[in-house]
Amino acid sequence: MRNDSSGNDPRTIWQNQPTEPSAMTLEKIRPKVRELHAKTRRQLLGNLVLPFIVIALCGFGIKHFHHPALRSLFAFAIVWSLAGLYFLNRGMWSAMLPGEAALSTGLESYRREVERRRSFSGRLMLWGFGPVIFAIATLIAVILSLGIGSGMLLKGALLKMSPFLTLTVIWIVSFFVIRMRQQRELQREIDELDAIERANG
Amino acid sequence: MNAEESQDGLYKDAADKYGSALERLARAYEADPEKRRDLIQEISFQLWRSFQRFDARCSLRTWVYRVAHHVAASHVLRERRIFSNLVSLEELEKLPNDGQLAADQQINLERLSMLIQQLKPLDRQVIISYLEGIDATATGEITGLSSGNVAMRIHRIKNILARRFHEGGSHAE
Repeated sequence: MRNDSSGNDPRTIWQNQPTEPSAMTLEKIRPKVRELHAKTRRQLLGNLVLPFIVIALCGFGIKHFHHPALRSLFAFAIVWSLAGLYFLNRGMWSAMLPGEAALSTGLESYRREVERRRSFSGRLMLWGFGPVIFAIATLIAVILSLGIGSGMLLKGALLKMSPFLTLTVIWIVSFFVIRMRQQRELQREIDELDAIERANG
Repeated sequence: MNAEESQDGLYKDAADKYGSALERLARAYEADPEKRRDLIQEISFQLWRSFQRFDARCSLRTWVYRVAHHVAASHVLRERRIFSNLVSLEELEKLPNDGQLAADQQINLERLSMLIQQLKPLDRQVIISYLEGIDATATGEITGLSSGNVAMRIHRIKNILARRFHEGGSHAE
């Protein structure tokens, strides 16, 4: 490529772009440590939402239904959800520290980040989404069986619950489609990185 | 000098030497000015944290770029919409030229930034190194790509840039 002296050379355009003097002084960095802690606390609170939904649903189930098998199912969903809280957070905090990133090359650290995200996405399905689906399904089955037990036909019970069932199904399907797509994209990214590593020799 | 002073000293040194380059790097990863400001802050903060472990195993420049690219690539993965498609240099080479070179440097800079932002993170690392004037050996150290791999990518980058910035330029002139 010729070196364009008219200033149309991409390197010249890139290097001459206006920049501000470094705004992140040491005085501004220290408050960032506090900000990071606050952000971590907010994230932890955000992670409590799904288990809270499960506990609320199952708590309702345990309170209103006295059959031991049903109560066991609800209790199982609560335990699953609480275990998920641990496993999901463990995955979340295993992100690479900046010092480790500097000791790894761009290829290594990018690969680790993509793998971490793929693994986290899989864990989210099992430990986050799984208990919610299980709790909802149990609750729907119980409500349907109660409806039928009180003389209502299955068709009638289903009809009465159809708005809720439709919304639930749409939510579950969209969640699955989005997550599976993300998983596929991340896997494709990993395959490409594999190919680059092979070419690297 | 204690560890904290050393960490602060290294950060100041890095910010003085590479502050502008890091801003340019952030532009290559984030188009939105507001988010870009956040990204620069995040890179600076993570860089400062990383200096707790600096052991001069690699040069200060390699260290700075590795951390910066790692933070920026994580940012891309986090912000990426599932339907967005980032392309490789190979794919970008095949895409048609989308416009002519303008007389205004700012417009050309925007076009160059948009071109980089279409790329996958690893290819962005190579093109940024190329645009910053970092040689192939140092680019290999930063990215972890072999010298042959870096050379092949730089060749593609030159083709793409020549086609989009010089061919277009002849029309504009």
